[in-house]
Amino acid sequence: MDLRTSIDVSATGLHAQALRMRVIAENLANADSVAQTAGGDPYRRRVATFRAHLDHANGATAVQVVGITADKSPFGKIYQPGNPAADKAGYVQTPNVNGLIEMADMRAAQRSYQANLNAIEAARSMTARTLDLIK
Amino acid sequence: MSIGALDAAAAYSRALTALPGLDRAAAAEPEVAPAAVTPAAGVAEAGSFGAMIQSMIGETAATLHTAETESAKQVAGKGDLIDVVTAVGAAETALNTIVAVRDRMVGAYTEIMHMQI
Repeated sequence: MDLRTSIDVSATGLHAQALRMRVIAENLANADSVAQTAGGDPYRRRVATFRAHLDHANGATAVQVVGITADKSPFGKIYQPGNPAADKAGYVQTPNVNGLIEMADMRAAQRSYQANLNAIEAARSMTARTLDLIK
Repeated sequence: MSIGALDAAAAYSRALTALPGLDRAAAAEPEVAPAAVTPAAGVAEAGSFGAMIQSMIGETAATLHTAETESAKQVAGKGDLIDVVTAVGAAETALNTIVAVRDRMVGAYTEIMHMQI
């Protein structure tokens, strides 16, 4: 049944956005995570990537998480000679996490999640209205 | 649009061919008015119609069971909220469908019982 399938597809969208939200939470939580060793790399920002996936069982194209990849943008650098993670020159590398970008991403994930929820709600109400025909 | 006895019979035969499919059987149902069910019920074999209802109930029970399993997993802290919600939603729809079809059948039955002989 197509309406049932559309609910399943929307559910994969919910899963994908929930994972994206988890990755954003990880990025925000680790915004200040520096290296454990002197001169080492700090936390590297990560992003979730998705792709369209044809489900042969019901013929619908759902969304699938390809993986969580690292953001290759350069790290920040602050002068903090007392920090255990500082290199010989006294600089500490900071994660390439930008609060503003994370917030924008979070909003996008939130809106997308909401859109999928609305699609589920619409499909459910369509099913219910169809069923009302024989009531 | 008038619904004749032959239309009802056709709708029933379509419902019977869609035996494993819950949704298609339910979709064929609305075309049948309670009054028109009476002659068709006599045409269709009682056993095969019963088998259709049985398979519908079996499917509904399976969906409800899935919902219950998911809910139990969620309570135990191992389940996924999205899976629980979709499973419970599917179970609700399946149950609503079977209840609507049952109401229709009971309606047809009482219609026959109230028939003047």
